[in-house]
Parts: sequence; C-alpha cells; structure tokens
Amino acid sequence: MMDSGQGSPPSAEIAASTKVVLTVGTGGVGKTTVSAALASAAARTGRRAVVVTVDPARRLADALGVAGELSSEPTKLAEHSNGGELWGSMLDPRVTFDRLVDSHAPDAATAVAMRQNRIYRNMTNGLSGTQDYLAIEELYWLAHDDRFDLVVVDTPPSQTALDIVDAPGRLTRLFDNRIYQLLTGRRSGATRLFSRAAQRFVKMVGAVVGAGIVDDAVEFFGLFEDLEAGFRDRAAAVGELLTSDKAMVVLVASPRADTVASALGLIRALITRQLRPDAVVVNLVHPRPDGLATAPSSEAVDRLRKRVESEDKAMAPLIEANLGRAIVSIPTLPGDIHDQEGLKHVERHLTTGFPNDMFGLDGAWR
Amino acid sequence: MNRTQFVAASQVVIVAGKGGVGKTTVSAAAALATADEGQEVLAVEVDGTGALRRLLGCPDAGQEPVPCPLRPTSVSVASIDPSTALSRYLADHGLGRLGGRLARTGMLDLVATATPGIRDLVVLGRLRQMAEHHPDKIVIVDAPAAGHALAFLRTPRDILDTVDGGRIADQAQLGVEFLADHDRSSVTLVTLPQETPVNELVETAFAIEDELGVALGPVIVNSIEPPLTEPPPVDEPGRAAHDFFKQRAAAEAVQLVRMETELPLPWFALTRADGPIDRQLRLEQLARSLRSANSK
Repeated sequence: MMDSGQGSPPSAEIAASTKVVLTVGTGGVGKTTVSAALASAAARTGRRAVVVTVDPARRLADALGVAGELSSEPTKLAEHSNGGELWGSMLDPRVTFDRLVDSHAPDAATAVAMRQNRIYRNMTNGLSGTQDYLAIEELYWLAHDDRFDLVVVDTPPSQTALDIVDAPGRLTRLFDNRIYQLLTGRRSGATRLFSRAAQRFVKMVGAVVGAGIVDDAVEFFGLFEDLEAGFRDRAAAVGELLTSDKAMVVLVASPRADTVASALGLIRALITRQLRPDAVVVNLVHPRPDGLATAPSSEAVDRLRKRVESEDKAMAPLIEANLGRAIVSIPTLPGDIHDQEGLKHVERHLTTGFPNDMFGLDGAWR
Repeated sequence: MNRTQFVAASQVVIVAGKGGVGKTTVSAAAALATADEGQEVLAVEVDGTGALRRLLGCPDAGQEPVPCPLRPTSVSVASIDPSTALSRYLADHGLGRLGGRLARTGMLDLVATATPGIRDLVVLGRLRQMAEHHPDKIVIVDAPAAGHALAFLRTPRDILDTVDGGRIADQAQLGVEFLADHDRSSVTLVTLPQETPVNELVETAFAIEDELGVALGPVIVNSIEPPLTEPPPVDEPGRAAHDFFKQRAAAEAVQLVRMETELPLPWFALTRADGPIDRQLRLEQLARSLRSANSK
C-alpha cells in the first residue's frame, strides 16, 4: 500500500509491489484519462503495464492517442529503453465470458451448450449489469499474464456503491439462492414438495416472461452448476487479490460538490469492504496562477477566483474526511486531453502533485 | 397542447446523457422552465438515486407524484425505483400470493437474471402509465445514469428478441411502440462542449434515431464558458486567467462547430456557473436561461 510521505509532495506513484490498480469514481471525472496516465507513467519507470477499459466508447483510445479502436486483445503502444512497456485493451463482454466458460467447463459439450444458451447470450451483451463482474475477471486474467507486471483497470462508473468490488460475491450468491436450487433440482432428493413448488413456480414465471425463457433459464442454471466450483474459486481469488497489498485503489473525483459527495460515499463503501483508496485524484481543477489572490480585479481574475472559491468549498468535505491519503489535484487543460501531450500533463501531475498549495494543505496530508 | 421550444414536441421527454454532463440539473431546470411556460409538469427520476427529487426539493417523493415546493401548483415529482417497480409488476400479474416467500428466496433476482432488462422494461411501463394517467402534463424523465441510457431505450427491442410470448413480450411490444411514437415520447440529449462528450453525443444520437426510431428533441449543451468581454489584464496572474478562459472558449467553439456539422439538430446553450452558488438559485438561473435562449 502507498503511504503519503511526510512533507513530500503528494503523488499517486505506484509502488513496486503493486500488481493491480483499480481506478474508481463517478462518470465524467476523467477516470479513463487518469487510468491511462497511471499506466503510462508506470511504463516510463520500467514496468510492463497494461491498461484495460470496460467503456465501449473510444475514450481510452483517445486518451492514449491511439488512432483506431482498441480490442480485447492487448495492444503494445509504447516501449521504453528501460524495459518498460505500455499496453492497452478494451473489454469485450462476450470474449471475456466465453473465456471464462471455456476455462471452467468440465468438457467441450458443456461449453458449447452454454455459449448457445439464449440466457447466456443475453447476459453477455452487456445489458444486464455483468460489466462489473467482467472487469474484475479481466483484471484477474491480465494479472496472471506473464507479459505484464502491472494491470490498471478503468472500472465502469459507480454511482453510489462499489458494485465492482461486490461483483464476484453477487454472482456466487446466486448459487446459494433457494430458487436456483429448486430449478436445478439440487433439493429434489429432499422432499417431493420441492419439485411441486418448483413446477408451480416455473409455470407462474412462464406466464409472465414466456415459457421459452424459463426452459432456457433452467438449462442455463443447470449448465452453470458445472461451472460453479470454478466461479467460486475465481471469486475468492479475486477478492483476495483486491484486499492484498498487491492492489492499489485510486479514487478519481472532480472538484464539484456532487462528485465529492459521491466520492465520499465510495470511500465509505470501500472501507466497509476492507479496501481503502490509496490515493485520491481530484481532476479537472481550475489553474491557480501565482498571485491570483492579490491580483487586481478584472473580468478574468474575478471569474477565476470565484471558480477557485467554488472548488475549495466543494473539496472541503474531502479534506475534512481526513483520509490520511494523498490527495492529488490535476489542473484542467483549456482543451481536451486526447494526445500524448495531454497524457503527459496528467502523468506529470500524478507523480509530482500540483505545484501550488492546493486547498490550503501546504504539503501536509494527514 | 402548446409545446415549449427547448423540450421536444412529445408528452414524455427523456433527458439522457453520459455521466458528469449535468443531466439531472438540466432535467430539473427543464421541468421548471416548462412549468413557467404555462405547462403542468411531472418530473420523474428512474434510477432510484434520489438526485432529481432532492434537487427539486422533494426528497421523499415515491411512485405517487408529490407537489414540488419550487412550483407547487405546476410541477410534481415522482421517483420510480426499479426494484420496487418490478416487485409491484410481478404482484400485479399473479405472482403476488407466492410473492412474499419467493421474494425472500430471491425470485426477483432470478427473474431479473433470467430476463436481463426486465427492470428497465417495468420502469418504462410505469412511465407509460404515468403519462396516460396525467394526459395534460409534460413528463420530464431524468434517464438512467452513465452509459445506460441507450441500453434503457434498447431494452424493449432486446427483450422482444429474447422472450417468446408471455406478458413480458406484450409489455416489450408496448414499450417499442411507445418509444417510436413521436407524439408520446422523445429524447433530449445533454452534452458538454468537449471533444469526447461531443463524439459520444453524435454516436448516441444516431443510434437512437436510426436504430430505435426514437424521436430526438433539441440538444442541450451544458457548461459553456461565457466569452470574455474585457481586454487582457496587464498583470501576470490576470493574463494567465484571461488566456485560460480564452483558450477554453476557443476549444469549445471548435467542438460546437463540429457538433453542428455532424448532428443536424437544434441546440440550446447553458453557460458554466461562475462561483459558489446555492443549488436552487442556480436551478432558477438555468430555467430562465432555457426560456430566454433561442435554439441554434
């Protein structure tokens, strides 16, 4: 885990022992850019880093300055003389799920049946909130790929809770579900009552969602049973990895009251899951030129002072939360960050911190 | 019915956009502005986060509309919680008696897992019902957060492709018809004057119109940097501040020109707030801006 050095400038530098970095935060705060910059900065220091996004939009490709689209197979984007490498990839729900099924299925026939199941196909088109789980699965997969020694995961935006950390548990909880047990006939040996109840249930659900879907669901859960042990093991391993000191959690926020409130909610959610953000990155902060406070009044100066005042006010709860963690702020550029220049700007601020005394903290981070 | 300019010519207006573009604030401002144009308005949030109802001063609003204290006679607020809506739907369709026991055993999770999108579909069904129960009101909907807006709008079609028969298929059919009926529903997209949000706006707009046949209302561009009117100050920090805003306005102008070229839709501009400001004051400001703005 990272510690904020006493008196040293705040930074979101990645420790040598860190193997995976999870960036979390609400939408619109520049999480993808920060993820790209973290991986890029690590590559410069000699790490073989891969950054993976779950966002199907071109954001990561834009942030990394890649002309085309990224695919689910990692692409090498930069090589440094110290051995450092930067790779990028974009999560494809279908590819990740298929790989998961293939690696856990007891035989080829089960894998094929699963891939053809309509429920499965629907689950893997990204509609059903499975992206959180997939991001974690991808993280685990890449963390065990010898080509990389650092994986940075740009997680899907979390609005209020940390769905992503709960994702493995949510999937395995399904197996503890009594209805699931009824449908797969696990309790069928117990009493005949169960099978009668199951039949009744299936009929009623069928009236609402159509008979075909119930048949598919029964088949799906039946097939899933064969994969269950593998999924459980994987969920446990991922949970262990995330709470170990090999993992680093970077929370990204912007200096607005609503995103700070969401960030604090996320931090609380993280803490209840034995996770802490190791660094908080406040992105898109207005620039604070030296002497702004005492400059003669003008339209531009007055506007900037008001914006700065507004940001300080929005940031106050985060400072007061007293996380004992580095809070790194990144000044916004007038234009968009979509080229190497912009990425370097973010990298520079991630590793050195904002040059001015942001939010009156004066380098003290406790 | 007299329609306002800044929301589309339909009874239900779904306000959608990526996370961080200010969709909820714009929804609330549009609700107030529409009311001030003499319309009765029902503002609805559908993601259960409570952001819209808090902003409109009714933190306790549920599925039944309650009057908004900011416009008690003309705006009411409702919140549809996806999970509650689903259990209500199932209870209404004969699963109620078994409901208690089955809910405890996780039936809702199972139905939701077996039929991805069913929650969204049920939410859409509730919206349709609300619009029918309040035919004289404009229904302004703060669409689900983040990238889910498109998935939300696609849900009825996806479900029609998945299920064969059953009440859900009927619901999905009604949902498809509702979304494709330009008198009943339309989508207003919110974006920021920046490269990535504009890219995403254009992609989403074409997907919504071409793929789903859903009507698009005017685009609302939020947080535009107001132009500077004074010449640059001579002092160093003053010049730095001036340059920053000038550069930002220039970068935004490039994106807005690109948006106009790539997306032939009228749009409205809302400017960035200057400093710390009470949220409700800001909301009233934005509502006034929407009413006085001319579409571009």
